Amino acid sequence: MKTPWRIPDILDLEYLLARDEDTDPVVLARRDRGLYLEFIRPQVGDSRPGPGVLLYHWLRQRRRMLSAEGGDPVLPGRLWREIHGILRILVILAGLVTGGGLAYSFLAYSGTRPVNVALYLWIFVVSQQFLLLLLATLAVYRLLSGRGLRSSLLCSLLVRLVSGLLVKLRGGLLRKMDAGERLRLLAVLGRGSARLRSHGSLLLWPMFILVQLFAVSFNGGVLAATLVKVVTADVAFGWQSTLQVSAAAVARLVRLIALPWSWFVPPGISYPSLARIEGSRMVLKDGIYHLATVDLASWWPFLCLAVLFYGLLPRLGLFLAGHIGLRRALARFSFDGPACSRLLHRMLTPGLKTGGSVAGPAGETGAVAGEEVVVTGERSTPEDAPGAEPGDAGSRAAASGETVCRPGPGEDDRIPERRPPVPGPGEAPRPVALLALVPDELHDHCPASTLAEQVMARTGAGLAGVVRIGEEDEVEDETLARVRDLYGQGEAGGILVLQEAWQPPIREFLDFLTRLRGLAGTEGRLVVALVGRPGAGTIFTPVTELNSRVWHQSLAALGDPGLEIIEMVAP
Amino acid sequence: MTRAVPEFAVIGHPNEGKSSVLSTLAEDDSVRVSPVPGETTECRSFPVVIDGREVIRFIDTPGFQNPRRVLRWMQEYQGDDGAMLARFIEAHRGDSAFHDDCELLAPLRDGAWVIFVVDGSRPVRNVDRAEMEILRLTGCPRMAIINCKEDETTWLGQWRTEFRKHFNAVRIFNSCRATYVERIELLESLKAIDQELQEVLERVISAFRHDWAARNVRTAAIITALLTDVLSYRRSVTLREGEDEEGVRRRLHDEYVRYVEHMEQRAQRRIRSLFRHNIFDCRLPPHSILHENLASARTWQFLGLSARQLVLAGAVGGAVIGAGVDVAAAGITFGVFCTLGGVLGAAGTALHGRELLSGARLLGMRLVRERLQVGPVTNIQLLYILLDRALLFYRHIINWAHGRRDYDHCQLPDGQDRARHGFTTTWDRAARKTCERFLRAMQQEEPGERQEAGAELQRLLEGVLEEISMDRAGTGG
Repeated sequence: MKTPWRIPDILDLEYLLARDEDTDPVVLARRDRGLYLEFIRPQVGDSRPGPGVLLYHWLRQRRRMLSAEGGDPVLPGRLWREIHGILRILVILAGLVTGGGLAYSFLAYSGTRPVNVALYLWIFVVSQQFLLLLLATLAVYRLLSGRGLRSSLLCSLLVRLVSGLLVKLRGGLLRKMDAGERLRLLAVLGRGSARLRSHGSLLLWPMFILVQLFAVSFNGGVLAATLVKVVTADVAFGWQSTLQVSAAAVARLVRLIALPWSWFVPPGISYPSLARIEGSRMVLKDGIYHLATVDLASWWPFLCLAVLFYGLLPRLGLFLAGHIGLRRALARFSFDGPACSRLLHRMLTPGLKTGGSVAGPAGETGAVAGEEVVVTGERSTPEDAPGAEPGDAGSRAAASGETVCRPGPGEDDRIPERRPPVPGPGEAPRPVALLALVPDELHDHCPASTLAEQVMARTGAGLAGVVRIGEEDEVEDETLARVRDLYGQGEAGGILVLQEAWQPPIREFLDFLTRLRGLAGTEGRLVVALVGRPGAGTIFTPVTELNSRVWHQSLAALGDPGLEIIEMVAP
Repeated sequence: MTRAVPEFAVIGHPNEGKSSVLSTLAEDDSVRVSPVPGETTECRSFPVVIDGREVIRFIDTPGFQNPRRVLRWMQEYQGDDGAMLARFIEAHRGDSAFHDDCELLAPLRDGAWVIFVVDGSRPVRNVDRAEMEILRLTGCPRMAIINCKEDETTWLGQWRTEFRKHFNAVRIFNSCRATYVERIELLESLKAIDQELQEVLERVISAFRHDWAARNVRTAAIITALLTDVLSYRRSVTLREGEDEEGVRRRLHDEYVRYVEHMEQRAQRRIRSLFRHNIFDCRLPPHSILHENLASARTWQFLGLSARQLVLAGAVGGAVIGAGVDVAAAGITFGVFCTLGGVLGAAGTALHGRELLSGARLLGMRLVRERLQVGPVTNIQLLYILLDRALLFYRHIINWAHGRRDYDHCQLPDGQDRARHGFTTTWDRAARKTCERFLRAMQQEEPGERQEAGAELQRLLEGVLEEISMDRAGTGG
């Protein structure tokens, strides 16, 4: 099932997801699960739709809810639509005015000197051809280098501008700011850069289309002005050269230029004949009085056709190509970012309410009496889980002497046998198992079962293994090499790093995350799971608001659109 | 490689309170301190200047950003140990990732002593061990300060054990609660870093003590001046005909309250600036005693004469008439009428003068005027309350560390519950006598006595302020 995603929809989705960041996770889980059960599931039925479809339905319901809550909310999508509409009109007008104005003033003829054909062609045809050639070269370069629209000139200029600005900021302005302001600014820049990375092509296609629209209007203006001038005024066209160029050579060049249309347009119209070319040659010392009017007027159809075929039609083609490109970019748009994954997880995860009698300790069931908790959906045996297959990373690593902890057979009863819903092949979101990296100091206080349970509850993913990192005598390269081995061999589809939020986010750790991203690839999940200061007998304590903000801002400054930050214990 | 001016670089992990420690130690509240890590990105020096000469210098540094990488580099370093830091900085100078590390190691390269600051309310982590190892490898003389940012003390033992391996001297110093005494003690403990620092630190400590004593003298003078102004306050107004006496009385009281508050705040501002607080300010709750029982008196005047003067005038008038009768009787009455006239005049004026003269007018002008007067204060309780409030403010100001920035948490008792907050309740008889003498002097118009009583009170206050500074002065509860 295809969904009619448009840019305004994606902007609205982003906006609504960003709004949800500050909302209580329990409230969100209840709301989204409710939306899914009440509105979305009845529509999609048992077809197991992809994330795009689910999210599209969610977006429609959220818009409806917002309208019901507070009249007509001004969502960014609507703003985009309106601004884009105005921009299109402005661009068309600007193109028509500049093209028409330029051509009209160029064709001014007072009867003493005819309009120079070569100059007309140079200004209105050759210059445009040059720009088209530049565009084609860049397109070919991108095609050959396998880089997308992100490597466009505009994009790279933007990136250069922003990075230049950053360097300047670091040098001057940043030093004057206090730490909070500095962190906030860097987070905003990082988020902007992340957006450019994830939505770069989506945002650049509309700009491309606008540029083409301007070019189409410009050429339309030129053609219209030329025709108006030809019809309403007496315009004479001629050619001249200091070099002793023969009329036959000019005729050959003209025939060559006219090739795209000469095969179906009658000869007299498609280009001037040799005699007419001969007759329209201007020699300044002789004046133009001896030149025949019919010769001087023979050029205009050729010039108009040249503008049409070399200016207007290619731009129309590019305009259409832009629309196709945008549609393809929208179709390719990936909804597997952290916020989307969390939303899908909320929608597809049944809310479980346990109340009344609790037989065993709360820790065993993961639920506290009378409290609504979110647990993941369908039950499956641990063997079904990707992380529990024989010969997996854990066992291989153990064989090679790696420090890998894995819920052993004896621990199975403590590991929650809950797995996220398994969607249809290649359709619905597929939570992957995560390889958990636990700092040396926390490792011994972090039971694999508790960790697995918390990770499942917070990310919807199982654990592919636990790796001890940051040991006193180990260097970063060695840690990364170990992680790379385990990640490559195992079935982990992402990496989770457990981090104490009271520790400040130092450069060393942020760089380590960047290197982990390189290891997990752009598709792999990278999750930073925050815990608070160790409490009575547990490391799983809530994170303070300040620490949470500092970490969110510091990680946002990295500009990694796929980096997820979760808090292991709800505040 | 030691510099002419000894330098102490305050070093540590980000957000451990390095700037806060320095801000408190240097009594400089302009230092940027923030709960968000990474506030300090450049080194900033805090010179201690005695008699125009810089004696020592403290340097605030950014926190370590790459402790493990720095340690790794140092462990792999093969060259001359003395040049290690210079080589490191040279190798990483252009790398923005190492900006903070280069910045904080630069003073060490130049021969600074190290004060390593950690937040003792959190557990020890491997990055901390890496940082301590870096400092060990630099070979710089060093001490450690445990700056407990929170009340948590669970991890103190862990820190002490860890520090014993790397440092000779360890001191707990809460940068948000450190008092004057603790600051001096911290300076004392710096001597343990290096024997050659002994002399210069003695000078610094001695200068700190003298400076503090001078500030106490100034504070005592400010408080005495406040008491002089408030206790000798007098104000009287004339009651106009038909004017509401109660309203005027209330107005006079309000004016007096405003005056006392104004003078008190002015004194507090002066004390605050004396102790170099530019941002922190605390306000005592408004006085309540001032609204209750301030002495006021109603007087009346005839032709500008007070009641007493008028009785005298009556007596003189009666005597003059009596003397006239005596003269008329050719002196045979022997002045009996003169005496009788005087007595009757005085008695008549005293007993019926007000009734007789009320409403008397001459050429349309009222001849009788009534006046209301407040002050001077006769109730000694006000003196004690003003003293307690001033001392309470002083204690709060001197104990509010410059590195502390949670200004919202400043709440002071009003000082009127003397049983609980009064410094003066514990004073001995001699001190009380001094206060009583001072109050009496304020009610009199003799400048000599006022001056002497003021000087005596100031001496008493100087002693009390010193006691409070040393945290030896108890409050009643």
